[in-house]
Amino acid sequence: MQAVANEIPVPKKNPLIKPLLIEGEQTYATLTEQISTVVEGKTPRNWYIAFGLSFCITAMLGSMLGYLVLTGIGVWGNNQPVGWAWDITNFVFWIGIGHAGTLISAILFLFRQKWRTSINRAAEAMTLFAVACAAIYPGFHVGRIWFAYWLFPLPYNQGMWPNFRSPLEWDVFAVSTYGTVSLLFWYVGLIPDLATLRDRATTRLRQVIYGVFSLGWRGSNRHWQHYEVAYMILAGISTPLVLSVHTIVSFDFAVSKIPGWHTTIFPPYFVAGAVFSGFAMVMTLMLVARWALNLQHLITMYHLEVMNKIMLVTGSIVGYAYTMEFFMAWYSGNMYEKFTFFNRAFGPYAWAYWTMFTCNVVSPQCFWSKKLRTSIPFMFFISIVINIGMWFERFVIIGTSLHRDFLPSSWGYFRPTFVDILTFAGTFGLFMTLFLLFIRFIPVIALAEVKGVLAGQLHKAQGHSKH
Amino acid sequence: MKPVEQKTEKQYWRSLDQLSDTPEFRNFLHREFPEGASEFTSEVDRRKFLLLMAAGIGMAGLTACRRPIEKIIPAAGRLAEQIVPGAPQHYATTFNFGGQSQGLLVRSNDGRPTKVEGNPNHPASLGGTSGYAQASVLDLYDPDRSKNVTKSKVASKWEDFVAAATPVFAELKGKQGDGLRFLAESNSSPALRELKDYISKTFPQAKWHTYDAISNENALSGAALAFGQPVHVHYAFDKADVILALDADFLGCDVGSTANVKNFAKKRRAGTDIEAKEHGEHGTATHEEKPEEKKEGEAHKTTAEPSAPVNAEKMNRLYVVESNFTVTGAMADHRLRMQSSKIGGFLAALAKKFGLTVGGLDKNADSLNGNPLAEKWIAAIAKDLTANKGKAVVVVGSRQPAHVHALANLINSTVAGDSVKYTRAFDEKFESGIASIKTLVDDANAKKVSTLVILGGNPVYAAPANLKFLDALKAITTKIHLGLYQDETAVECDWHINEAHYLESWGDGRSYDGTASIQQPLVAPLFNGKSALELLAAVSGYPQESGYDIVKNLWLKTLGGEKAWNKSVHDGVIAGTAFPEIKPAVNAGAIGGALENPPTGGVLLAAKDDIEINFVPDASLYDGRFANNAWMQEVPDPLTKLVWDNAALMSRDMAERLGVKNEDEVELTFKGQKLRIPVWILPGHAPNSVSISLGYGRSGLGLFKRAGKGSGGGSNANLLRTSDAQDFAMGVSVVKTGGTYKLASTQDHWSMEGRHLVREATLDDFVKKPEVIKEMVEEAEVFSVYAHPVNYSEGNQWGMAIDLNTCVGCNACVLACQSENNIPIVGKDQVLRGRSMHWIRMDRYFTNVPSTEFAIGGAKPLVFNEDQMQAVQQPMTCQQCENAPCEEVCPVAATVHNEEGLNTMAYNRCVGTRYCSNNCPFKVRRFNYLNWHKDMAETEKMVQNPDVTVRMRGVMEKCTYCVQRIQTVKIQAKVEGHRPIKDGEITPACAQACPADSIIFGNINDPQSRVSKLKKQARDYQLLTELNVKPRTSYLAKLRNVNKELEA
Repeated sequence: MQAVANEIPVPKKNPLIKPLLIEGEQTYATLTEQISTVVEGKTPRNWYIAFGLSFCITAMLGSMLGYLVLTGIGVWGNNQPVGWAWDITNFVFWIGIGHAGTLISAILFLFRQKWRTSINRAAEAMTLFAVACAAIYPGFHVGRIWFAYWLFPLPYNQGMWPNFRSPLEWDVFAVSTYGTVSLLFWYVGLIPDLATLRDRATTRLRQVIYGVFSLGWRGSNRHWQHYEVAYMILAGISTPLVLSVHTIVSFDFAVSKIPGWHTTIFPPYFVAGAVFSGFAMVMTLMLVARWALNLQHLITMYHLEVMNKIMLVTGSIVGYAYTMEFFMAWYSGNMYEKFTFFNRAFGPYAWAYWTMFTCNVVSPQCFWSKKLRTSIPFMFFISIVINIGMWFERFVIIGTSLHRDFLPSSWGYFRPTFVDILTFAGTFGLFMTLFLLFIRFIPVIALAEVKGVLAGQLHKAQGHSKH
Repeated sequence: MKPVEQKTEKQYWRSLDQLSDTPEFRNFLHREFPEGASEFTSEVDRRKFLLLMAAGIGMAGLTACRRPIEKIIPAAGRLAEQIVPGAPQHYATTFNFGGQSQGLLVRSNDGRPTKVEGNPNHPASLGGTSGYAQASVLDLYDPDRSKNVTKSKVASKWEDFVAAATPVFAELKGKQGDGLRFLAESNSSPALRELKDYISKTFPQAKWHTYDAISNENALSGAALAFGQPVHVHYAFDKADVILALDADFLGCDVGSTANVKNFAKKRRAGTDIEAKEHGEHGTATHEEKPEEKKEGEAHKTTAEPSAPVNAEKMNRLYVVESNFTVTGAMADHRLRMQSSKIGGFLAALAKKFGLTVGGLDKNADSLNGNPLAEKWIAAIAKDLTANKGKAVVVVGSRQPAHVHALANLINSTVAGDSVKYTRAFDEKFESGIASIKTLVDDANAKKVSTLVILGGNPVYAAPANLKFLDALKAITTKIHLGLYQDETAVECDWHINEAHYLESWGDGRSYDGTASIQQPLVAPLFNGKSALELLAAVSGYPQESGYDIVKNLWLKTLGGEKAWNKSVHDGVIAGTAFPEIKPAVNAGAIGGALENPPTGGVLLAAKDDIEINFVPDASLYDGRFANNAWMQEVPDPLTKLVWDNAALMSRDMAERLGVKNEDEVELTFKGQKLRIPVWILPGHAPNSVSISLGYGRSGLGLFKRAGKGSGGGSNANLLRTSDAQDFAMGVSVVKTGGTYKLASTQDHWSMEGRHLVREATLDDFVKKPEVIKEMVEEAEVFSVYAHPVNYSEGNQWGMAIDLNTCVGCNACVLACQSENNIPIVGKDQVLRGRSMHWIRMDRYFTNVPSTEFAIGGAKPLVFNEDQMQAVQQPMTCQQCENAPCEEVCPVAATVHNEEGLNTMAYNRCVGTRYCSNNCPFKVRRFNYLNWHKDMAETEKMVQNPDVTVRMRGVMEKCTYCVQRIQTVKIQAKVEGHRPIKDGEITPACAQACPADSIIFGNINDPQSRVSKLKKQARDYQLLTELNVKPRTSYLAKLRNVNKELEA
């Protein structure tokens, strides 16, 4: 143990040796204690304040949506020709944020990236909450929400199937599948930890509730074997979904006829963008959680740095995509395409385009510098900048393509109304509300998995000391 | 009673009671149920109760029914007993507008007039209608109409008015009518004339004044000057090869533009004269000449019928010199922008060049001040007019002063031949309206007027500002006003009589050529209004009281009998009433005299750097009479595309010089009067000149309250309009105030961005090489990767062809569509948000405008030359794509194709994702963002077409090719034994209203249909073919018949 502690400074000196994923003198017991007390301890006053605030914003979301349903889509700024504006922008924005969760839990799991364990639980939760926020928009953006169930292939009196040729219909399946699988994956990962909480429960109520949700987990070898296989299978199922959901969301645009939408580059570009924005969001949240819940030794600088590197990579992919769109617009010889892209960069929405470009392409390039990459205030700032940029990316794609398309006679301009703005703000309230509930009632770090990492770390440390 | 004794036969009885026939037994027999079980104890028993209830409900319903009191005759000629409930009827009637009448066929659905169509038999309609006529039906149901007689603004009754008026008019009669005045707008009605004559007999001292805010009096006084008598000058545009229009909006706002457009279009078909084709007249000489010149587009390759080559001689050439940019200017082959006050000089210079010798030409021509462009024009036009002698015509707009008209008459007398016709004026005692109202004001101020009867019009709003009409009005003891609204004039009068709309009252009128027609009501007055005829009859003691009797009695005298009357009412024209043509001789000396002394008052010959102000009729509101008409407020102006407001229109160079941009507020000062008004830049407007359209600034109207926030108003140009500057004047000052005012425009983009949306070529280029149109866009090799589920080669396949060479952009189709398809209005605020709902819109592009600077791949940036500015109009509606992009993206299959090639909308199925609209390359889909029908008044609901669903909020809608009309005809054809549908039997509302016959609809599977033939023309093209959407609507390219001398 002492030896482990002594070795901590070494990685900083020798870049060839990987840094430790769990810092400090940790045993299984201390880990359990630390992570569980977050859930079990007295609810801090700050949590109440944060929750109260978030809840009020969620209530505002509810009233805005109520106003929308009772009055009509006209309370938003959508118009002819901009039939979709903040509604679908926000939908894609939230869905994109969800991507990091599944990526971290599924793909990194399959690639045996052990550093994921400290952040995967929160990232997965974030995925679910982001999908919940996203799902509001396709539901509420339709003119007659009371008939929105017609989008599902249900047998009812009209005797009609939905139109399977419509990418919007594909969205219905893609998003609902994604939501379901993400929930299952998250829940399966939770089971051993819920059992831990059940075992530590001091009140009958907690015992029963955690008991019910831990599905009789006893931690037997047999349980563990089945659990590992199930988790692996779900990771396998989730992996294509990471790619498919945003691919299909991008089909909403790519399959259409509108210049600026009608491009084959969209699927990879959207997926990269989604991962990019998702990691930025995870970063924002984890920095706050790490500070608020004192988890510095579990979410270490190494984790943060790795995430920053991923943002650097995906941000560069996105930048490449932006550039390539311009190249294709020029190379294709299609005058409408050319116009659309020049209009993006120099037209009435140029401010939005350059906001996007600066935030998404320029700002992550700072992470080439190790100093900036490891500066917590800086990465917090950049993670927020990236999320702003990624929101603008969706707005630029949707808004600027629609506002000036084929016939100049129909050109228009979109301005959001207060309902647009408050609804979007409200989804953040919903997101935060759900996240606060999550950190209050569910272990924010995957206990069982972190212990697995610790086991490896301990084993390694013992091995080293023997030699 | 001893019944037992009466028995004669063998008796059977069942009890002793029966045998003895006691009262108890009788009662028992009579009663079905025991006592107390079967009756109410109250006085009304059950049966009686039900009886009363049934009667009560029945009678309550009956109050909604009104018995016809006068016989009206449907135009379809069906007898009353053959009328199918629910099936619409058409009635011929007459729309009096601007002192002339237009014959209409009005559709009535179960007694509600719902849609106006043109009467093909009527010379001022020829089947088409103006936008004004289309929108007039909405006025009938306007909830803000005056609903009762008022006495000093307090509700009263017609009977009370008659009782009060009788002693007044009896007293006046005693005084020979001294002090009695009438003020009316000019009207061609023979019945009104009859009453006027009657009044002048019974009240010999009474005077009749006529004032129109927009009048034709300059033309009449010009004619009086030239011919010694006020004759009507008509232009037969179907016979003219060269037309020079000077400040004349003869295709737009001018009264009678419907017939003008109709005739003008005949000379613009450029070899695609569908009328000739209808009668099977194929193959003129030119057809055989160049059969190899037909190169079809890929789409039409299979049907290798020779496309009709162009007969260049058939196409006219239009020169327009004008200050404001009008639809006529947009149609021009050559347009010269020039201040209105210099146009007289232009004509004088032309007359000089033309070799005319009358006095004063030099003096007038000097006002051109050596404008080199104008000189070039004058030389070219003089040559062209000479070359086309007998087929050339000079048209001068009604805003130009009399002496310019007179000079034009002089020129026409040498060049026009039979393309100008003359008939006598409606009223041979012609008096200028300005002089007339001035006399009235002077007399009133001198206390010479005791009683004034105002018949329609709104003089308090519209009379020249310097006359201070309101002050004069207040000096009159008894003021009686007849009008549709409680308007500015009505509230100042002692009595206001609510007028009956023309669709609820009898009357008559004459068209421009004198053809008379009967104005037949389709519905009894909704608010018991009275017509002008009835009011005059009541106050003058005319033998007949009702409008019906007055009109019928008058015409029976001429027509002879009931049968002829019925025929006249049925046909919508009275045969043989057209005025005979006359050939008046021109008095050159008188014209010279007038030219020597042109009117003063700053109209002409002012300092050359002065800014000119122009008062122009509004394309939507005309003189303000349609200000409360929601359709008219929301139909975009043809050139500025503004809705709900007017603006100070000025050229781009002038705005630059003044340092103002769109929506900047300026203060105009003219003769001490001030007006604040926002600026709107109209490229190609005359330099140093501001145009303001009339009819706005009537902020008290009910419509503005109903139409939501931001709706309303505009600026009242009449505040600056004086009696010596009714049309234009020099010397207005324009000062930027620093404020701004939001204007709603449906299309603020000028350029086509180098895209070939409206394809345009010069006639010469096209004749040389007809493929030039198709070659403008590289035809992509397009193919489908899957078999289309609909077989388009069978049955009826609907298609449309729109001729851009004849379309003037008059908006009649937009309003017809609005009326036919129950299209809601949304208000200014929602238009600003980009949510106007028109299913057919007029796309207006300025050509010779540089593209947006970054439009790489578009046109090269051009120098912005406003002297070369031209505009094009393109009616844009659902293109009914065979590969409709909207259909494939709808997740619930609410928009699908039918077997006749229509892109249909199932409103019931639509959930409102708006994806279809996003994916529509033409952006013709319209979404119900809010419930536009929420605050609709009960009366307004009556104008709705019952054959078209009213769409709820949250639902997408769009043009259907008027599928309800298609279905009606299909059902009819089925009933008549599954007969094939004849070409032309189905006409969508836009095509029916179009005065230019630019829109042709039909079956493209029938090679003999007009639309098929048009689609085979070399001029035919589809929009955005590279998208492979295969639109069913195609356009025929625009041609400009360019004079080479004015090129370069």
